Amino acid sequence: MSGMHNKSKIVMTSLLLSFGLSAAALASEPLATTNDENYDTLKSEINELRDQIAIMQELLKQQSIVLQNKVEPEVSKAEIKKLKKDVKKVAKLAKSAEEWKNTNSTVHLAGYASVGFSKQAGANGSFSQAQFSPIFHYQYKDKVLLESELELKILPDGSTSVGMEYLTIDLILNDYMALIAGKFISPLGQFRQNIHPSWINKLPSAPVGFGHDQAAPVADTGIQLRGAIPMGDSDMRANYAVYVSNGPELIPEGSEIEEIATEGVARDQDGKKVYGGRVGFNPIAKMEIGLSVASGQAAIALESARSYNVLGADFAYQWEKLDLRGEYVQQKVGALSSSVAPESWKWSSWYMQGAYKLPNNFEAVARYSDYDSPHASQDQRQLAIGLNYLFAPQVITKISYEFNDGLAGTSAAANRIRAQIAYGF
Amino acid sequence: MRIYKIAYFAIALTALAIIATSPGTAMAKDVKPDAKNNAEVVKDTKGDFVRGAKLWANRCSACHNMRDPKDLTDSEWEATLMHMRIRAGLSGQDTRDILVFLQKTN
Ligand code: HEC
Repeated sequence: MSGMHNKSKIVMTSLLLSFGLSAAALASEPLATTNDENYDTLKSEINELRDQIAIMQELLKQQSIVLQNKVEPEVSKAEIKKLKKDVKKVAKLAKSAEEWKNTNSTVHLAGYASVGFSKQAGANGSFSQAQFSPIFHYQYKDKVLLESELELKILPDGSTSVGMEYLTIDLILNDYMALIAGKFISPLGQFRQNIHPSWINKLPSAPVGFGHDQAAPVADTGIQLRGAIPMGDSDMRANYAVYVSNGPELIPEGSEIEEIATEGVARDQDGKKVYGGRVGFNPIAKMEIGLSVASGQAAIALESARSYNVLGADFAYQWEKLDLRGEYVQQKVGALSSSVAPESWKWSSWYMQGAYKLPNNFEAVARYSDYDSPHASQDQRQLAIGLNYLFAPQVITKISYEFNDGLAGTSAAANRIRAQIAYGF
Repeated sequence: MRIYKIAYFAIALTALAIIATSPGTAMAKDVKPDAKNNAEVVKDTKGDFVRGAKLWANRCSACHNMRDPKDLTDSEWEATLMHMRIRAGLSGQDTRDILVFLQKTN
């Protein structure tokens, strides 16, 4: 750029100089005499000057053309420089993206959250739920997955509870088997392990009997083997999960066992393990039938162990806009004469649910569930109907009404209306 | 409690059968397909788009609403599918097939 400026400066100065010189020359002529001879010389000198000016104008014109031509390539050079810079930048970005793609490990945050309102007949309605369940995934190649779900929720008094829903380190042993170790959701049945997350559950509540410390085991601590069962080239599929765990603890009240605590304790007071598993079979696409069984021993703290058995069956079927599923589960504790609660006890529950996708992202749901506890005050039958609107497949607003039938005067008896927004990510 | 014993026995037997019949570890990234392997084997350790699309349609709406492949990036799908593989009891091959489908359509 500055080179060009210098050149044009030189040209300009030389032009001005020659004008100046010519003018000086003219001025130095004695103009006092005005005879014809003088007039003629003056005239011819003026003509000569005119010619010179014309030549100079021409020169100037040419010079400016040259200058213009020179400007062009210099600008594009700058552009090229900038382009080169950009290309370098892009290449660097592409490389880093590539690096990211090829790392051995991946960190991924998933999970879900839900907020809700509920009102039971005869009581005040309240915004009763705010729950956040982040799920952390740390994956190493396709060999290892660490999965952990926390459960943070606000309690009625405004304080927050933090729970570890599960934490397992999963080692992929081969194409058909993974070892899962840690605290896991009970692999028995389908509701607890597959349906309970709020963005998956089509109703704002769990079926009666499938909540915490009811008929269905919730979690356990131990090790699990799970995977697919080879089925050759057929379209059928089958899967299994088998585990050994600490098992549950029995909570007495008076001469009864109040509940079986299946939250996945990290101790084994009775020293006796529980063994169990589930086999799932898909005879056709979009249908699964599952059978679950677990057996072992469990105890009231400081007592000796007694038998503990679980039996379950579940099915799920999707057909066009219809989603049907159902499940039965029972937990049984054997008699023990030396116990404060010597009898044998059985909790059982089942549900059947149908959901139908309506036009415009609406969905209708109905579920019937029946919970039989050894304690009459806990027995409950429930019909829940609901209408959902799907903002997205994983963002669901739900409104439901629960017709409850239980022991009169207990909370199991009153009907309830619920609303919920659930978001899975 | 005979029913438990029978069910137990069945589960134990299934588990044993699986351990006995499982091919050795076959993980996509670890397998270095050598020239002698036939095309089928090489293809199998990778994942097949068409099979993946079909399996995705058949398997991925069994428990929850179908998720849009565009929800997640390639590497997020890797972690998520490993999660689903364990949750749903998918075979390694089915997982690789579905992964290829999701990563090509996201
Ligand atoms: C056996 C039931 C089941 C099947 C089949 C299933 N999922 Fe899931 N999926 C779940 C559950 C349960 C969760 C919630 C995770 C949790 O709470 O631990 C989930 C979560 C997800 C999420 C959210 C992110 C995450 O990792 O939590 C995505 C995405 C997803 N599944 C995609 C799929 C795809 C794709 C398939 C088909 C291969 C599939 N799912 C098949 C049960 C299932």
